[in-house]
Parts: sequence; C-alpha cells; structure tokens
Amino acid sequence: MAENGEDEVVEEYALEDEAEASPAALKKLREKLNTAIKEKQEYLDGWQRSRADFANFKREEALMSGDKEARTKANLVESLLPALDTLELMVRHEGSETGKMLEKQFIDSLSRLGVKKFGAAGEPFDPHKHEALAQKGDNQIIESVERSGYSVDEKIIRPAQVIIS
Amino acid sequence: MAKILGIDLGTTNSAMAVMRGGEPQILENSEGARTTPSVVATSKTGERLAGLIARRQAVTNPKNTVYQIKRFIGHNWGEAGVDKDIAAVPYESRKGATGGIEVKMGEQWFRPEEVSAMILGKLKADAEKRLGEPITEAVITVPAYFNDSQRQATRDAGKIAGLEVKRIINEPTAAALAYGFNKKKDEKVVVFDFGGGTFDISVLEVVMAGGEEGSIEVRSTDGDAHLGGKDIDQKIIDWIAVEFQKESGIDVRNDPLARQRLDEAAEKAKIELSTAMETEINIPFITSDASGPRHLLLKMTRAKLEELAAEFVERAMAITKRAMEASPFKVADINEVILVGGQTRMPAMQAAVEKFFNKKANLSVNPDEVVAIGAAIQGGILGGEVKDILLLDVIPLSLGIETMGGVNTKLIERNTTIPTSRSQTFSTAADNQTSVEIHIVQGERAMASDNKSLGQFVLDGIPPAPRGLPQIEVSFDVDANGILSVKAKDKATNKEQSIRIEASSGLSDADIEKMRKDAEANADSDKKKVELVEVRNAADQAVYGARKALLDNKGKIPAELETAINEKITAVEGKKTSEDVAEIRTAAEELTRELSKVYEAVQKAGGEQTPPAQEAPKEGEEPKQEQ
Repeated sequence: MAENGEDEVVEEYALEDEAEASPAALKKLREKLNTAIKEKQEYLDGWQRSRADFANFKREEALMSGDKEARTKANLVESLLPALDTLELMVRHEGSETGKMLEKQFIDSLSRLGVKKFGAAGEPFDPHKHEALAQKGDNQIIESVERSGYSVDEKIIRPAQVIIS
Repeated sequence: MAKILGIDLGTTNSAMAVMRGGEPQILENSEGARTTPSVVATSKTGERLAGLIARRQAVTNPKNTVYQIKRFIGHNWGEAGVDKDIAAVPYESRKGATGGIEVKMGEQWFRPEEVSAMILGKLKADAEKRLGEPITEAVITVPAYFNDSQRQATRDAGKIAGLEVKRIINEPTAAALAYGFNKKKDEKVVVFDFGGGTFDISVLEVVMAGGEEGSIEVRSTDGDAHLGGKDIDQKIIDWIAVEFQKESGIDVRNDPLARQRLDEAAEKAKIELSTAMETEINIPFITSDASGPRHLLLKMTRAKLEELAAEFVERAMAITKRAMEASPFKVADINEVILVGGQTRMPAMQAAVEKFFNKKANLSVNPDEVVAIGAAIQGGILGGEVKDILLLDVIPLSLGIETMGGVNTKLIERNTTIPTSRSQTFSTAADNQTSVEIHIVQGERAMASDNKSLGQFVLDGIPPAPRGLPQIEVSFDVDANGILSVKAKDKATNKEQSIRIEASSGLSDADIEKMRKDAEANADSDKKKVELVEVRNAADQAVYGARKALLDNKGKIPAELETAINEKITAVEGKKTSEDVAEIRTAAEELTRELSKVYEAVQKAGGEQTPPAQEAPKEGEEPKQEQ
C-alpha cells in the first residue's frame, strides 16, 4: 500500500515538473514525501486518538449517568447530616425520649436508601473511616464518637470524628 | 501515545488533570475528591498513608505525619526562613548527609523529595485507576520563585515516583495556559494566587505566540509564604468565639472538640458569604456549663467578613504593588489578570484586584484547579495532543433556514464546536410545489426576518406531489474556518443545489454580543410570534385536511354534515389572519371536532373510509423528523 502511495505522489509531482528530473529535484521530492508520510501518520494517530477519546467519553457518560443517581443521593444525604448531628447531640446531652424516637425514625428511613451510620466506642481506629480529633493515650481504640460517620451504598460520604483512647 | 499527567503539587493540597478529547479534565482521586491533601504518614501499624487518609489520623500520630513538605524541598539545613517552618511542624527534622533537610516518619529518615514522591505516587496510582492505562510521564508545576535546586528536587521527586517529568513549569504560567493567554505576542498577564497558606503574585509576558510554555516569561514575582485563607479563617474563628464569650462567659477555643466545629463553621460561613450577604452560624451543643448544654447561634454579614479580612487583602495588594513596581510594566500595560486559589472567590478580594488593575479579573476556570488544568495543557502540547491546528473553534451564533410562517428553524446551535455537519429533512408547503427556496439565516431570534440573512438559493425540478410528501434534505456543513456550505437535495430525484457562504464567520465580537442580547431581550415577544405562526399553521393544516376529507368521501357524507364542515372551514379561514392565538386555536379545534363525524358517517354508509389527511397544508417548508 505504501509503495503504491509513493508511486502516486512521485508521479503527481513529476507531471507538474517534467523538466526538473535532476537528482537535486528528486532529493527535494523525497524529503517532501518523507515529511508528508510523517505528517500523515501523525494526523492519523491524532484522529484515532480523538475517536478513541470520544468513544471512551461516551462510555463514561453512560457510566456516569448511573453514577449520577448515586451522587445525587449522596449529596442529598450529606445535606441532611447537620440536622441529624444535632438530633444525636440532643439525645446525648438531654436524654430526650422524643429525640431518641425521632432519631431512630430518621435513621430507619435513611437506611432504606442504603444509608448506614457508623462509628462506635471500642472499635479500632481506622483512618479510612475515622477522623481523629484528639488522642488521650497511645492506644488506637476509639474512646468516644464526637460525630457519627455515614456511608451511602457502602461508600463513605463522611468519616466519623472520634477521640482515641 | 500515553497521556501526560498534569500535576499541581501544592503546599497544602495537590490536584491533577489530563487532556481528554482535546480538553483538559481534572481527575478525581480514589476518594472521589478533586484535590488531594499534600500529607503523608507512617501509621502506628507501619502502613504508609497518603492524602486524605493521612490527614485524618494526623492528630493521633503527629510525629509521623508529614505535611507542607514543599516548604523544605530543595532547601539546605540552616537556610534563612526555613528554621521557622521547621519549628512550626510537629515532625522531627535534621541535617542530611549532603547538607539538605531530612524528616522523620516512623523509624526512617526521608529527604523532602522522597516525601513529595509519596504524594506523587498516590496521584499516579489514582490517575491510572481512573484512566485504565499506565501513566509514566508528567508535567509538574512549581512556584515562579523556585530556584534550580528546588526545581531539580521536584523533578527528582517525580522520578522516584516512577514519573518521567517532561517539564517543570511555573504555576502562574500554567494558569495563563489554562486561559489560553499565550497566543498574542507581548501580552502581559498578572497571576494573583491567594491560596490556603501562601500568596504569590507574578507578572508575565508572552514573548512568542503559540503553544509552547517557553513563550511565556516571568518578569517579576513576589509574595508571602505565610499569608493565606487560613489566616482569614482564624480571624473568623476568633470573632465567633469572642461573640459567644460575651453572652456565655465561655471561651470555646480552649476546647479542642469545640475548636474543630468552629473551624468547620468558620470555613462554611466564609464560603456562603461569597454569594450571600448574610449567613447564620449554627453550632448546637458546642459546650456545656452548670446550667446545661450551650448552643451557638450567630449571624454574620458579608460586611463583617470583609472587615475581618481587610488586613490580609491590603497586605496582598501592597505586595501586588511591589511586584508591579519591580516589573518593566505599568498597571495600564497589563492585558489580563488571572485569579488563582480558592480564597479569590471572596468578592472583596476580587473587587480589590479589579480596582487596582482597572479591569475585570478572570475567574471562570475553577481557581482551585486552574494550575493543574494548565499543567495538563502543557502535557498536551508536549504529547502532541494540543496543536494550534487542532485548536477548535465554536460558531458564535446559530445557523438555520426560514420555514413556514417565517420561522427560523435552527440546524446548528450556537457554541457548537466546528468542523461539524447537520442535516434535516423538510417538505413542500403546497400541493404540486415544484421548487423550494432555501433562505439561510444566522442568529438567535425566533423569526427569520429578525436575524442576519446569509444567502439563499432555489432547488427546483421537484416532481408535482401533494404537499408534505416530497423529502428535501437540507445539509449544513461548517468547516474549521467557519465557512458554511448548504446543500438541498430532493431524495426522490437526487437533484441537488448548494451554496457556499463565507460571511457567516465575519462578525465582530460586538456584533455577536448585540445579536445575543437582542434575542434575550425579545425572548418573550419572539415566543408569542412563533406561537402565532404555529397556531396559524395548525389551522391551515386543519382546513387542508377537512377539504381533502370532503373530496375523498364525496357522496358518503350527509349534506348537513358537509355544510357544517364548510361553515367551520370558512370560520377558520376568517380567523387565520387574526392576531388572537386563542381565537384561531378554538376555530381549528371546532373544525377538527366536526371533521371527526366524517368517520362515523362513512362507516354508516358502509363504504371504504378515506380518512382525512394527517399531514396539514403548508405555506412554506415544514421540518420533518430527521431520518
């Protein structure tokens, strides 16, 4: 294929410059040809990469739209967390029975959407799930949870803020 | 041709980007975040941690958690300014064998480039996972004031991480590349970078037009390595604490747990006040005393925030003035100002910069990501993905044709990247119409006459046929230079006619903006005009259908029904010229209702039904579904 291409190009130039069959002219033509072949490959590479990028982009868009629902859910849950935190604090500080019921109701409703609360005293500290606020000793065990962590469909949306014993 | 990763290796946070489909795109890390804390640690169990995970355990492990390593890279032990930074961090450091600095993590000592390599390694691994391909090359950015030793150390960090560093580029230069401010020779650009912990100001000049980073030179640079958004956060925290102390008598800054909540609330308030004039700081159960739990509820206004931030903004502007004086240029010479760093989102900071330079600052590229974006573009240039010949344009205004009723039917919407082609199939408006006129218009207005006429031509030789039957495919093709070619082809005969228009690319920016603004201003009235045209077309359609039904079912329809239908036809014809949309619509609906009785009548007569035509009569071309 390449050879045929070569013949075509040389023939085309030859028709234009019939009088210039000198070695110098041929050398010039060969240089031009080499440049053209190089450029052709470059452009083809670029075109193929562009096509591939587009195909990949379409594939990712399709994946992302499935992802979009998960992200929307995570964002919605995240926006509710400050209110949940306050409820948790209320239960902790005031021991309110109504507060406890409301908290449970809230958590139960969210669990049906795949939301899980985590972080408990006695658990080993894990920086993948917990953020340490203070350390009281050398142990790597959680002494208390200042703010619970939450995951949506197993993906952590907020680590638990803990005190290490 | 593997991708070259663009990396903004920051003091507090890092970011990465690559070229994809000709556009730079930030890559999220494995935690799903667009920035990665520049923090590394050796955990108590000996595990190497990097990024967000390392930061989360910092409090439990301060001696083995290394952050802000960028302050030490390329420096020697005992260098001026470094000792203060060394004293400020909880991890141990010492003089290295070659006179450099070494830091301790776990039981081992590391050079700063080895620590930076751990951050780069995490970014590399996360990028490979996202892209599904190996990454072996990178462009890394450094501050403009970095000396050779610091630049080489950064390159070494890349090498240790398994990255061939194709180029080390200046952060302000990367920001300029992100905005494409490297195209005009002699262009002067100021980059104002107010980040979390550092402030840098750079004055750049484009010495060579084109895509190469070498075409941008730094004419002066200045800054403060200890001035940043964190200072403003601290002021807000202090203000909140003082206000709370006034009413409760408790200084919550002494409680580390309350402190954490204050920190978060202060940052949240600062961010909200970039768009709102007032915000509420609400921290329930922040502390407790003899009377029980105490809650913090405070209103903060933007004016208050600006008052608290004023000294830092002033310091930044004083340094900016110094940088301008050290450069060969006057303020009036500056062509563009770029804002970098999240803190520049604060309106007061933007206003101060814009007032100083007497021009609008560029903020459209995310200020937290702009440096990484620029690094990716540089990677694209080096990798051959970004070439001047591949810089694609968009058409500034929509291109369309005039269809029935004088409506502008757009074929190519504005901001479509070119080169591009679009086709749509149209038909005839009247029975036995043997030619169609293709009138090409440019603009956003709903009616063709309100837009710029680019040209017209006629396609004739269409075989006579009932209206709506012929299929005329109209194709628009815009090449990379914005030249429009329009072709109309009768699918039945393959007869075609075309025109080439160069004027579509000749409008000035001002003209384009005016046309867009006109469209916005007239949106409501244009909508009404289109509605009127559509309802008239529908009425026309109803009349055509009714006449055809009467003709096709002659003899099968009772005389009274025929009279009633004719009366309704007359009523619709009479109303068609009215400007009252509701009137025309009602008349057409009444006709359609009357017409539906034809079916019943024909069925009763026991003959074959010839239902009324579904396609309505047209006065011009009517777009059909694209095939």
